Amino acid sequence: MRIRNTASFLVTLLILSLLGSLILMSGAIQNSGQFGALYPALLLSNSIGILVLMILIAANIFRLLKQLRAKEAGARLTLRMVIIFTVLAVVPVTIVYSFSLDFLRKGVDSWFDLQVSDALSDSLELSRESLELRTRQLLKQTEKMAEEMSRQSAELSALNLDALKRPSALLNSQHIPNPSRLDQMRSQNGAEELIIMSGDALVISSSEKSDLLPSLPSESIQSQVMQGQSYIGLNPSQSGDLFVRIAVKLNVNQNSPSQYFLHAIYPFSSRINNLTDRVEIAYAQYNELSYLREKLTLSFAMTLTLVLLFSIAAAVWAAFYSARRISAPIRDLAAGTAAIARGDYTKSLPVQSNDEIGFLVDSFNSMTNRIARARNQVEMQREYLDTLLSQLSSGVMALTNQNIITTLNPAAVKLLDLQQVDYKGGTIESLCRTNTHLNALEKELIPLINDSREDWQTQSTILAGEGSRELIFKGTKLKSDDRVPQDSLVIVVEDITAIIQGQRDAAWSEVARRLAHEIKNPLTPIQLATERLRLKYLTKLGKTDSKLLERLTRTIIQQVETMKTMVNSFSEYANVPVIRREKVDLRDLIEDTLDFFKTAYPKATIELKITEGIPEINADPLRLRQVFNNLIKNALEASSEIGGGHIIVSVREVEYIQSHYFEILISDYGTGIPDELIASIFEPYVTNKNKGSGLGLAIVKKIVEEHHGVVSLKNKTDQGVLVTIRFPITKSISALEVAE
Amino acid sequence: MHIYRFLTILSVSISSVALFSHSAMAAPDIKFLSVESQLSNNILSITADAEVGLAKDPTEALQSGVPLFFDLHIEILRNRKYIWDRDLFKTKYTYSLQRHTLSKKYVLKNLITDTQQVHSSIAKALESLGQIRKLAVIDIEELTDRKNLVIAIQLELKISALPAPMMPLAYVSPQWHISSRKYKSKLDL
Repeated sequence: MRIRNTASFLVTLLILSLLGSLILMSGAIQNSGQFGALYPALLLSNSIGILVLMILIAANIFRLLKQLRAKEAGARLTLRMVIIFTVLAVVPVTIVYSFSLDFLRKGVDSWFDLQVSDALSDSLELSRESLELRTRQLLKQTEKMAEEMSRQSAELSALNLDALKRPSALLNSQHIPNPSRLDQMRSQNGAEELIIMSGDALVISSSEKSDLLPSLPSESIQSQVMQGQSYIGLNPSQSGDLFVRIAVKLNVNQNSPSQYFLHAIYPFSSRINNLTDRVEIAYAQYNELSYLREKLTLSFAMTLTLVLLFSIAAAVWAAFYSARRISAPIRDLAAGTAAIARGDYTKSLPVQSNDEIGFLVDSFNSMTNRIARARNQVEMQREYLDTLLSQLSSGVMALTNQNIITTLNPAAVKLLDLQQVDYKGGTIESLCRTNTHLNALEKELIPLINDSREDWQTQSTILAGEGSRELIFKGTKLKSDDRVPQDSLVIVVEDITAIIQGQRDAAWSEVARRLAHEIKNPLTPIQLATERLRLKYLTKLGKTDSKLLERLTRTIIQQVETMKTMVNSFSEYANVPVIRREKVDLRDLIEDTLDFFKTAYPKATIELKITEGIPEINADPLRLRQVFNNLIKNALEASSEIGGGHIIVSVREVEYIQSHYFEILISDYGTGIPDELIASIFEPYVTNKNKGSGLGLAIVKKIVEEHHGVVSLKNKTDQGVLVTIRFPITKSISALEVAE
Repeated sequence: MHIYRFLTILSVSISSVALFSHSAMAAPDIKFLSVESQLSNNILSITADAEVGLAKDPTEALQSGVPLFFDLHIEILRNRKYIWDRDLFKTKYTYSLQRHTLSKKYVLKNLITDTQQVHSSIAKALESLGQIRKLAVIDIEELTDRKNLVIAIQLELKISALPAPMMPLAYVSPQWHISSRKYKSKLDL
């Protein structure tokens, strides 16, 4: 802004300087004596100044064209205003210019009147005739004097001319001509000077009215006279007065080798001098003006043209300046509107005037402030909603009517076990396809989403990283209104795995408890009765019968023992756990367990990878040992079927969906588990082994969950099974709890 | 970018016109034939002969009553071997030449000495202008060091003394650029 003001000030200064310079130039034309010497410099400086103005205007035009090409706001308005201002300024100035030129030409012409010119010429001619008449009279007088002098030639011939060459000697010479006679003749004839000169330009004798040195004739005059032609000339004197110079040859002694002539100067009377002087001056001035006529007209025209160019250039520049100033607030308004369209509500425009445009700018600023405040409120509400959604344990998903995800809270990401966090902008279909474990969900969910029902609900099982997860999806359609810009769908996801599992576990516990109760009670009488039967009749029967009895009773007793063991297992599964927590070093516990199995399976390769710095945990060591026993035994049995057996046990600390866990991984290289069993492998009576109660993994799961952990199992892509146990650090076995 | 190109073309054009004008102005119409210096009573005077010519336009102006002014520049310089000469003294005599209409004569005036000569023709007046006789220049007592001195003389028509309407055309017209080259002569004192 400061640079622009400085530039405008400089241009204004230039315009004022040019104006002053043009006034001086006009003065120089009209009065050469005052500013005449400055005229060329003024002309040049004015031309350069106008050229500079033209260049400035060209730069402005160039800038405006650039703005028009770029379709900048306010450019068209500026162009229109510049054109209007320019036309308004140029047209009247041009009309005035053309009329002025015409008046100028006619005005200058009017100075030179033909009659005046003729009168001046005639007066000059008259003066000349008059002077010539007088001059001829003076010539006759001079010739008369010459004749008189010639009669005295004898006397003259006696002059010692050599003495005359030396004036000092001449003064004392006895041959000095009688000056009184020469003076007498001069005064009688009204001459200023009378000089007798020899042919070789020596003054013989002279008589002057004044004491000044005589005005001698030039060599050409001397030469002319010596050839016998008298000289008569009208000359201006130093003071400007006219005088007549006459030279006449003296007819001295014909035999004399020297020749002489008389030189006379006659003044005119002051009256005649005044008159002739006035005629001379008037005619000379008129003649000079007449000669300068065209040049004067041209100079005036040039000055006028410069004034015209200056006026037009100044007007066009002023037009640009004014147009830019007027259009500046409108340009600012357009820029402000564009900023708002881009979403920038912080734009505030400067209020530079208190007119209607200033009022408009002020209103614009108020509007943007209100919009900015409203947007901030909306942003705050949105942030509040986001915070609320992020804190919800239920997953929330919002979809547009094109199934594009607009909202997906962290709980939804966690429940759906999504690999990425940000799915906004994508469709629900692409989300399901990207995450392979949701492929089945897509087939179930998409028809419901596309259904026209207002509300719907469905339950689905997904296979998450930690195992299968039971989820309930509840959909509600929102119709577009003032608050909702378009039709959309909100899906709330809830995890009911724990509820289902709890119900299932409770049912199994009830079954186990009843089985244990109903089966265990008759087993003891059966065993006792069988033993009594055996004791009473084994010795009384014959050899063959006693062998049969002994085999049958042994079988009954063995089966009863087996059933007791099985019933005890059920009983153990069904019992409400009693956890005896104490500080447990996870490394020691696992190493002890592995040492036992290394002895039992000497051919097997058992590796342990444990991260340094795993702290002690607060847990029931006996029950944890039971977990590791079951899992490692299963892994070794599975891998022993192929080769000697190879298992890897890893312990590490991991972060999974913003939570920290101790993670124990048990990996084997066995035959793996059939896919159809994977989902229910932790349920009682589910096993892929020929022997066993099918309660091992169910008990593992139960113990892990008693410690608030999770256990999962999956087939590895290459070979074998990977069992993962995660104990959350923030729960009961955390390091903090250990510290207590 | 276009504005810069325009300014470049403009400056080149102006330079070309200036160079052309300068070369046109450089042609001398006054030529010094001889320059002599004399020393008398410690006063250095100069005698020179020059041929002075007038082109058609100045002659026409003179005949129309426009006075012409001539400047006779006299300089005393110290000649230096490797750098330009140093000015020690400068003086200027101005002459006016004007037609006296009534007497049909041409009056040549030395405006400094206030002396005048009247001639019947322009040729004779110009011839007289070219005859510089014993024109006093300087009292040599003013020159402290009198070694390697050079006297330079130049006669030129004074355009700035013309009537204002004539000046613009006179400045650009070669006819009005009447000047001699600077005639230099060694000065032995």
